[in-house]
Amino acid sequence: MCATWRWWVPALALALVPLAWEPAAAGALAGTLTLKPAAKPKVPPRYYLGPYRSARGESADAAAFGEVVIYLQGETLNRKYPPPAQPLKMIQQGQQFVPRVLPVLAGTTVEFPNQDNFYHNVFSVAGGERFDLGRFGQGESAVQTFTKPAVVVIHCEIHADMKAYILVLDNPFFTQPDAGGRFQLAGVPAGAYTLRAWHPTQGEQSVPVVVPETGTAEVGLSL
Amino acid sequence: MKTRCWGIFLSVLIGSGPATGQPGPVRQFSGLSTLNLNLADQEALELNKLRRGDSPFSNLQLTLFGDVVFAPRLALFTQLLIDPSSRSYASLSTYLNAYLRYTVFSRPLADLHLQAGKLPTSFGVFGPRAYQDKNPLVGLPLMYHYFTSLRSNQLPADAADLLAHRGQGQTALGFTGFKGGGSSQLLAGLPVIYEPCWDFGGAAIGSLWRFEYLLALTQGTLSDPRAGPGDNNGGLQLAARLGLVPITGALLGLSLARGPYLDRSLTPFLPPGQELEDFHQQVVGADAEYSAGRFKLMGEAALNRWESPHIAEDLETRAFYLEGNYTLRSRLRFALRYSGLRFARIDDGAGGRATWDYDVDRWEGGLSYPLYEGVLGKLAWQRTRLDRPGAEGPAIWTLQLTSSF
Repeated sequence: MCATWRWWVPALALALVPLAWEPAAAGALAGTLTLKPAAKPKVPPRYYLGPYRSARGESADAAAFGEVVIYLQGETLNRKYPPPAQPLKMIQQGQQFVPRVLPVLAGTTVEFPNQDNFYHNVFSVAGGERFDLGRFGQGESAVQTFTKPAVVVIHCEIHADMKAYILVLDNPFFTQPDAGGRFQLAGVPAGAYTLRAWHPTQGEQSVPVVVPETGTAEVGLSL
Repeated sequence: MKTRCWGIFLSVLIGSGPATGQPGPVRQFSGLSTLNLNLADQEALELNKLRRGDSPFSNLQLTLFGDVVFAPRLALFTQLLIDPSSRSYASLSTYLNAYLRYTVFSRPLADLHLQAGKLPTSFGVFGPRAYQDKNPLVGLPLMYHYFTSLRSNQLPADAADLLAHRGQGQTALGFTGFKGGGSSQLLAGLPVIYEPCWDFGGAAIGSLWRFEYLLALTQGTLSDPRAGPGDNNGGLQLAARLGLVPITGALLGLSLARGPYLDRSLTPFLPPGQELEDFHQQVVGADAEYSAGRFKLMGEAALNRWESPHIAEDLETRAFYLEGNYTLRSRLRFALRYSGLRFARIDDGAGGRATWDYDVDRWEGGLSYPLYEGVLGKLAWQRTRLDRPGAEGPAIWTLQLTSSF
């Protein structure tokens, strides 16, 4: 009986190690995103509504790569991650939400400061978070906490052409490409995952990836 | 006519230039569909009817939008309303609106745009909120659609003739006819401002610092805009608006419009030596809006005056509305609007004085709630009351669903 006990106790202990500990080995993913030109340039508002409700000045072209979110999904990443202690910001400036696409970890609070010298409003009815933060003027802000993974579409009811997206994700392994389309995800536990690239109007693409225990795996994505 | 209008609409939007995504014009199509379920007395619904036979309470409405950006500064905006409840004789041109906008400049502190074509109402601020996805209620303020008993194509012979037809403006079919001459064509009366129909002309619109401005020249008048490109008299209407944003959240505006409103079919019935262009509609209006947090309050008032050939006194009308709404965090919105028309007293020819049409009051209230992105549900109530003996002021209860796509 004693002999039997001696061999299976260490075996059980070894088997339980991956369940109790985060794998120490963590690799990285890096790659380049290619993005097709936007299909539809902005159409001006149908009604001219004056300085109170319409922006003056030429609107800047959207930063295309800045509107892409690259994130990982995988069963081994499914756990509770603490959200950032400080709120992230989505600024209302020049009658636009800046940034227009903001990826956040579930549980994150986002602040919406108004830097324009007229009123803005922030609301959403899509993506599992229904809220209206009212109207507020320059220098004021409102906050909202995003708890559920979803694509939350943000609007301003005063300026119908203001629209932004908050991509609420369930793990912190996400990033946005730089101006050249390069991206990197570091500190990823080794393993097999799905890497997704998402853009609000150009859709989503996913590829299977394997993150090594050390070093960087290269991957290419296109939208 | 219908075939020609469809041809213009389709050729502009589809037939010219390469497809979206390639160099050339950019096209954007969208739409707004509205379903109304009304619990109402027919008389109450008649008080909302428009000239075409449709109304904001029509059971089914579809508005199609086609916008084409030819160049960064040049865009064409087109919209077509489809409403099965419209009268069969209503011309398609009354449903089709289109105008070009050229942006002369657009800088951080000033901008100027030139617009030409069939233009939105060049007065006040309600026009952009007439779409059901922007209107927190279902009906329109009285000043923007209610038909008085005065006509553009028939003349009251005198004040007594006009007074005898009070309350007959809202429906052409119920009109028994003035004795002062004119066309036999069935037309509803003249509203102070007829927002559902746009007008042909040109406009300069823009802003400078905290001011916004509009200057427009159109073929018709606010009360009788021209649905088609032809004019019904030789005169033009001049309209202007100046708005000021004094503090964040507030907007103050002044509007005025003046133009001849009588139809050329009345020329033989004018007093000797006088012409159509001698008789004007003149409207002076003020608008104000203030919002803070979840609360918004807005209102407009207008003093309208028609000159009628056989009535010594000008026919004056005071029109107004006051509207407020409050939005909860869930985006459930409560809205309330009161609108009214007050008609001036004129000499009745028998030693007395009477209002030249029946005063009208309208109360509207409602809730709106976005069910999904682009889908809005409303529950609205409206009561309109004419100041005449026996007027009960029946109510309308409406359940509305609008979907923008």
